[in-house]
Amino acid sequence: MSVEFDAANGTLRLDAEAFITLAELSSDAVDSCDTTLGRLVDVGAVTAGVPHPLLRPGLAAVAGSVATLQVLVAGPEDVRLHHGWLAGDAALLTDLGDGTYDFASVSAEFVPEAIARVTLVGPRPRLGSGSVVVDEAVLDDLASSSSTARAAGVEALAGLLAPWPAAAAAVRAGGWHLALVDVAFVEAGRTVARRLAWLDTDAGMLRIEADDHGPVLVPVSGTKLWRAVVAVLPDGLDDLGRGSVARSA
Amino acid sequence: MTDARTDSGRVPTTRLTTVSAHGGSVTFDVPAAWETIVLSEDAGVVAALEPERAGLFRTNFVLTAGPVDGPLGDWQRQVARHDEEVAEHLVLDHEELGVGGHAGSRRLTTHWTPARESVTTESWSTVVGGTGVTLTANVGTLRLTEMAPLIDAVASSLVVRETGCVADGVPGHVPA
Repeated sequence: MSVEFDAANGTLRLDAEAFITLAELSSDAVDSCDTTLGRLVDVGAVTAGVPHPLLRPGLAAVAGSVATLQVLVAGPEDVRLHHGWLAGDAALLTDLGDGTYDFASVSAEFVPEAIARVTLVGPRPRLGSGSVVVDEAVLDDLASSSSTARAAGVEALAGLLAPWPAAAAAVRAGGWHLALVDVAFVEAGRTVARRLAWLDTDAGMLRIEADDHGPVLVPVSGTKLWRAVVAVLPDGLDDLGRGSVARSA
Repeated sequence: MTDARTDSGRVPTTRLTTVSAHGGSVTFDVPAAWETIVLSEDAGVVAALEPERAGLFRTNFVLTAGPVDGPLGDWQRQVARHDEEVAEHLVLDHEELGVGGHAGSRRLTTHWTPARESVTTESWSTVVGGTGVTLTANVGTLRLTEMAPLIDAVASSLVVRETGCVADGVPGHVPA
């Protein structure tokens, strides 16, 4: 696995093991002879036992986050799991799909756009109104790291999309991805967990909503989805981010 | 499964007042307490800004009305190209729909201001009698949940009258 660091702009690409080592540096839990630490030192991400100054805001967000973020994006080719930590400066660990991640410190204001970019929110054709119940097991298959399970999920999903033939055809042709955005934070002494989920196809997007009968697929526009992405984040995030700026992306 | 709040059907509690532009041929509602200014009488540009927020980004609506060459589609493609050149706009949605009583389009983007603020921009455009009319809403992205009902209300209030648009060179104005 590799670690690449550009000290000019703070861009850091690393594997999971190196990220964990970097995040644990402040806890004194890292042996100075650790080979993973050595890789971070070699590229200049760590100097004299401390992270490079451009990495510190992001690492501070990881250590002192007020909310955590996970964005799972599953498609025909692979499944990627992105992580975020929200504070005055947010930190994003973007899954590149090859066992490495981009680590970036950004202002909290940038988080909705970052979610939109990794989930590819954008203009799509509109699907006609309607709704269908979808079994949790189908969604589990679609989000599975097993390509065989995802293929089985696609077959089941295509059958469920009969009210929208173009969407069913798009799913069968590989023009789909599933996005799950999970946010957790503590509010008034209790943990709040929010989830926003949708299925994106080349023929249109469907939000996955909770219903008495289980998950339900309902057509959704990019506008409503964007508003939902903003709404899933904790209230007051703009106050946390006030005064900070996007540092790298 | 989704459990985020996205209730855009809420009605804003803000009192609205009607603003007109382009010789009275275009009208739309804005909050009565907001500052309304005519940015360019010749170009028919009218803006409404929310009150000062200690230097932070102020939600605003901007109405432009002026002559355009060609149909709506060509004009919108020019606008999209311009947006891409000026800043990195992430296009989030686009659809064709009725705007102010005429065939039109709606576009949703997000971008960064020079002050490094994330802004969401929603714009509604139509071409009537050779006059291109665009109403644009700009809001700080993290305030979108709070402002969405107002944005929807202002957009749905837009009216474009064909007779006024045909007459060219009529300055925009704000009623006293």
